[in-house]
Amino acid sequence: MTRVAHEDLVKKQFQELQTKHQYLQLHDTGKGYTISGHLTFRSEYAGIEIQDGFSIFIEIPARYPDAIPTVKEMAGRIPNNFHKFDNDVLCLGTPTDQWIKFNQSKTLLGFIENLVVPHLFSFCFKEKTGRMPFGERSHGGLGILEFYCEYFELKDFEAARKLLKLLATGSYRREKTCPCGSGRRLRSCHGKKFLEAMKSQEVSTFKGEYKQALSLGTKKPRN
Amino acid sequence: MPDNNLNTLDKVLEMYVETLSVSDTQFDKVRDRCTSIWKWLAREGSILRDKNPEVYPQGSFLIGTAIHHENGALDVDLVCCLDFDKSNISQKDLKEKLGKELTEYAKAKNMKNKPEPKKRCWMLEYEDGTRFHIDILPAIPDKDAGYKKYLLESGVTDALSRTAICITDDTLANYPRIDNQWLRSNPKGYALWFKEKMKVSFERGARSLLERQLYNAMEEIPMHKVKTPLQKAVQILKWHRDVMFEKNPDKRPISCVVSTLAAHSYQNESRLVDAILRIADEMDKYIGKDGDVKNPVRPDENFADKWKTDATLKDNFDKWLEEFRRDLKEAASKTSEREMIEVLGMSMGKTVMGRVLENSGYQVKSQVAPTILTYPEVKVSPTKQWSTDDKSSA
Repeated sequence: MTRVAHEDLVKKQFQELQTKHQYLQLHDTGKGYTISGHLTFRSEYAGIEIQDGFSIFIEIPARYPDAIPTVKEMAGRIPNNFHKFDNDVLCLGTPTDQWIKFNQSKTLLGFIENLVVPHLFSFCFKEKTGRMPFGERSHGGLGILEFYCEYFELKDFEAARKLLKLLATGSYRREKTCPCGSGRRLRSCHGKKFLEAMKSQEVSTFKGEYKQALSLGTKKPRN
Repeated sequence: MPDNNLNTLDKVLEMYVETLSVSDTQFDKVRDRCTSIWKWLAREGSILRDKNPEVYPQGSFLIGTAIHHENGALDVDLVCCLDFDKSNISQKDLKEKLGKELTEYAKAKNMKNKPEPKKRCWMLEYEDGTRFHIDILPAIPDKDAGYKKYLLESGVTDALSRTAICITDDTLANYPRIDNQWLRSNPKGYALWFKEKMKVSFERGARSLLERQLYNAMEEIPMHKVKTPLQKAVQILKWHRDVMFEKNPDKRPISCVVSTLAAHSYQNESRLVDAILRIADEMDKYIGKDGDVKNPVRPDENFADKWKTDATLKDNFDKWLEEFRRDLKEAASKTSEREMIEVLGMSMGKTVMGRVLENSGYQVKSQVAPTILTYPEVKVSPTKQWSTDDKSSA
């Protein structure tokens, strides 16, 4: 995407975002776009209603929409131990989790409502009830394997790890035996889901995830 | 930045200040309450009558930077200085003596609630429709010669150190007994320092009051009667902070840090916009190398001492300043007055923005509801939270 096309896209998408979330502002820093301001929402899950607002700061990468924006919470409400990187960026889910959510719309509004609000909602929900609304994955590689187990509907971490390894090579060979151990061909086994994941993002993300999943060693699953 | 824009932004900022300042009527009300309490303490039959009671506001009501609470409530801090000496009274005794008189006062004035003891003060609650709290801090003059010497040697002038006081704190071990170790404060000295930092602007504004013979001398003019760009800038900064930390007020940058850094940066600019741009740009440069924001009239007091034990507080200060700069820049990039009002309104809250728009004759959209913010409905779909082990990989 050219620079001009990127700028047009960001501006157009921001307009859509602002019609609903009116306290956000778009800034052109010269080096790229950022969004700041108050993000307010009223959401309900499992009978718990949350109405809240957060001061946030979003950086839109130059490669957007081929890269996902990053978000920081500015007023110090979310503590460091609540799914946050050291540089204060909120961790909105495992990389593939994020991509699948983001790809549902590939817009800033979608990003805010499918990724950012659920994250802030989880925080408020936990503050209010002491538990997480949607559950929590294990840290690091284990959490990534949990995601792939869910995604591919597998019960075995090893199978999930093998599928992830294949994703990390970036090639889809439909006639190959599916790494899950079923003995069937990939195309008639996990092929559909595999392709969906593969198309959601770049190979490097899978490589990163695979690296984390490898560094697991012999850690046992939580609980 | 084109000068036209700056002129417009200046006007817009002035309108915001107008809307969020505590009114003169309210300042007068505070003064009347001071007088009323003082009269009570000095009346025939008061156990403190011969202790030369003195009652005065401290903090934002003294330096003229008080702002409303969003809900209209008013919290005022007063000092009640009594001429006792550390060698013949304990902190507890001082606090109780004042408490006894204040209890009588509340009864005589038919107040619903008795004064309530807090860590360092008594709290009186007035029933005025809106919440009106007065915290009264018992104090005695600080006559410690050794400490005075320390202040002078640290470069605090005699004029600034003369008003130093000692205050009580019921969490201290020596609270109940006669002891030399009291906490110190110097609100009047701080106010004088703050005034010194805006001397040129203050005198510029004070001149017209003197010409109109409203006061006899410069020194008589209360600081809130002249509104300098520094005072206005501090009001805007504090309001912006209050809105940003509305949900997390305990973690916001505290007012004395904001006022002190702003005063250090101020160069007696005569336009609010110039003052605020400079302050936003430079205020963090006055944070000490070791992260201290020293009380200018008490170098042994660090206003930012909590930053040392809670790193998120410094972080919050940095983020707030970053945010403030961004908002200011964004407003300055607009060309029309209305756009500037609306851009600032995003971070100053809908209520004040609505009022500013109305005051300047703009049609206000019906969606400017009398709440600060509106909350659009967002459907959340489950996402499991996850953290990476490699915390730096983002």
